[in-house]
Amino acid sequence: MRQAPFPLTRLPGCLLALGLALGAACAHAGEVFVIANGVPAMTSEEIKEVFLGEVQFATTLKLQPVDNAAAQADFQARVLKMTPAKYTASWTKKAFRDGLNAPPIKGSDAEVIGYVKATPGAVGYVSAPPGAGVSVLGRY
Amino acid sequence: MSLACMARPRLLPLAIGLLTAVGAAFAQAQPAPADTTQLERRLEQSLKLIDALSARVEALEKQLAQSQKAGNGTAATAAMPSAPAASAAGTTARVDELERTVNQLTSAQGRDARDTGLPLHGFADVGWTQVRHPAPGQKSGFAVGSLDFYLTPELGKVRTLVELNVGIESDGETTVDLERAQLGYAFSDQLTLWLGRFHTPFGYWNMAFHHGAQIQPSVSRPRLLDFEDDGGILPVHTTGLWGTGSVRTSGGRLSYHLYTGNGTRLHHGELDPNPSGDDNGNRVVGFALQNRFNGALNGLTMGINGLRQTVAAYDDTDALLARTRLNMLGAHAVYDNEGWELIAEGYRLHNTDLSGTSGLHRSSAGYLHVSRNLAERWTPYLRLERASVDQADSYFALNANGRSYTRQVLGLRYDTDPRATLKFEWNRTRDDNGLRLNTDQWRFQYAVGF
Repeated sequence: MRQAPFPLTRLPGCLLALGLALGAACAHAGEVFVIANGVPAMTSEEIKEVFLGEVQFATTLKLQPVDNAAAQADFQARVLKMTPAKYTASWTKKAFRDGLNAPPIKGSDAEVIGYVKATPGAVGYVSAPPGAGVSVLGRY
Repeated sequence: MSLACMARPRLLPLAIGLLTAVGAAFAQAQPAPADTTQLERRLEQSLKLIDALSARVEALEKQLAQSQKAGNGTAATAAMPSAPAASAAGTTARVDELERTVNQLTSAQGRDARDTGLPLHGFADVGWTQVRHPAPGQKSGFAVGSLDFYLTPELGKVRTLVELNVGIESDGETTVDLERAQLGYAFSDQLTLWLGRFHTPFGYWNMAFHHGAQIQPSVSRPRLLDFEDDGGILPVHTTGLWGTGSVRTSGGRLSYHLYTGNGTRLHHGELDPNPSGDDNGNRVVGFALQNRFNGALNGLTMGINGLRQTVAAYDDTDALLARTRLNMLGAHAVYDNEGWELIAEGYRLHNTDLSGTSGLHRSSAGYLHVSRNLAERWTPYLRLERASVDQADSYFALNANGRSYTRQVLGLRYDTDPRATLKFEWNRTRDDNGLRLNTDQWRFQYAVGF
C-alpha cells in the first residue's frame, strides 16, 4: 500500500520550526544558567563562594547548592574558574576542616530544576533557560 | 491544479535558501570541539527525554481510548457531533496530567538526600621509612600510617563533626583516638558555635591538614606541630567551646575564632589536652583572626593568633612538678595560587614560671614551606623548620621533645588522582640533645582520601 505523500504546504512551517530549533540550540550551546529558589541576586564571586562552602546563608535562609553532572564542566570553567580536580580537592579539604558536605549532584537539568523548585534556598545551574518557577541569578 | 502543486516551484528555492541560512547560522555558532561533545550529550539527553515523554503520551492515549470504549455507547454517539471540542479538551487534560507527572518525578528526584544519609569520609596511608642515627623509638622499615575516619552529618543548621583515628604505636599496639567530637549550630555565616573536642584554631597547618595525610603537602608535619601524643610541644587539641565565623570585606574574607576550654597538662613528658575534664581551674583562652585576600592579592591569606593558659606538669605518680603560665602569639601567611603554595608560620612563647622563681622565659618556633605544582600531578617541595626553646622553662624541660632543633625537608609529591597521592621525602633533623648528630630520614608514603 502506497503511503500518502507529505503535504508540501507544510514544508515551510516545518523548515521554519527546524531552523528556530537549531538556532535556539546554537544560542544556548555551552551556556550556564544559575537558578535559585527564594535567594536574592548574587554576583559570580558570591555564587562561587556558595558552591565552595564559604557562604551558607542568604540572610537567615540556609542555602542548598546542588551540582548538575550535565553542566558541571561548563559551570566549573566559567563560574568557579577551576578544574574538576581542583574542585574535588577543595571539597575534600573543606569537609575535613569545617565539617561541611559537598553539594549533592543531580544528573540532568530536569532534576536540578525539580530540586530547586522544591527546596527554598536551593541554588543550582542548568544548561538551558529553566522556565517558570525558579529565578535566574546569572547567565554565563 | 492543487495548491500543493502550485506551491512546489516556489518552495524549492525557499527551502534551499532557508536551509542555507540555517546552515550558515549553525556554522557561525559552531561550538569549540570541547563544547561539541557537551552539546551532543545534551542532545542525547533531550532525545531520551522526548522518547520518555512520547511513551507516556502514548500510554495516556491508550488509557483514554480504553476508558472511552468502556463507556456508554449512547453517550459516545451523542458526543460525536462535538468531537473536535472533546478532543481538544482531552488533549489539554492529557498535557496537564503529563506536566503534573513530570513535576512529581523531578520533585521526587530532586529531594535532598544529605540529611537522610551519614556522610563518612576518611584518609589512610601506608609507607616506608629508612632512618640514619635514629632517635629513641624511631624504626626503619614498612609501616602502616593511620586510618582516619570522619563523619559530617548536617541536620539543617545543626552541624556535627566526629573524627576517629586508628594508628599503630612504635611498640606495635593499635590505638584508637577520638580526635574530634564537635557538635555545632550555625546561626549565620558570621557565627557558628561548636562544643566538644576540636583542633585548636591557631596557625594554618594545624587546622588545614592535621590527620589528613592525603591533603597534607608533605609526608611529615612540621615537628613543632606534632600531635601531643607524638611529643608535640604545642596544644593542638582543645576540648571546650569555640565560636567561629566570617564576613566578606572589600579586601576579601575575614574570619575569626574565639575559644575557651580545658587547659593542657604535662604528664609522663607528654602534653595531655585533658579531654575528660580539666585538672585545674585555669581554662585556655584563645583567638585567631585571618583574612583571605581577593583581587590583586588573590591566593594570599594572612592571620594572627594567640592563646593563654596555665599548664601543670606531673610526674609518673601524679605529683605536681611545676606550673607554667603559657602565653603564645603566632602569625602565618599562606600563598596558594597558580600552582605555588607557600606557607610560613611563626610562634613566640612568653612563659612564666608560677611554681618556682625562674621568672619569664622566651622561646620561638617556626617554619617555611614552599612547593610548586606542575601539570596538576607533580609537586616538589622544600621546608625549613627551626625551634629555639629555653631549656630553663619547665614547660619545655619537662616535655620529652621540648628541645631546640632545626630541620630541612625536601620531597616530591605525585597525585595519581585528586584523592590518591604518592610522596617521597628526605629530611635532616639536628636536635639540640647534646649528641650533636644529624638524623636523616628517607620516607615514602602512599595516601588516599575518600
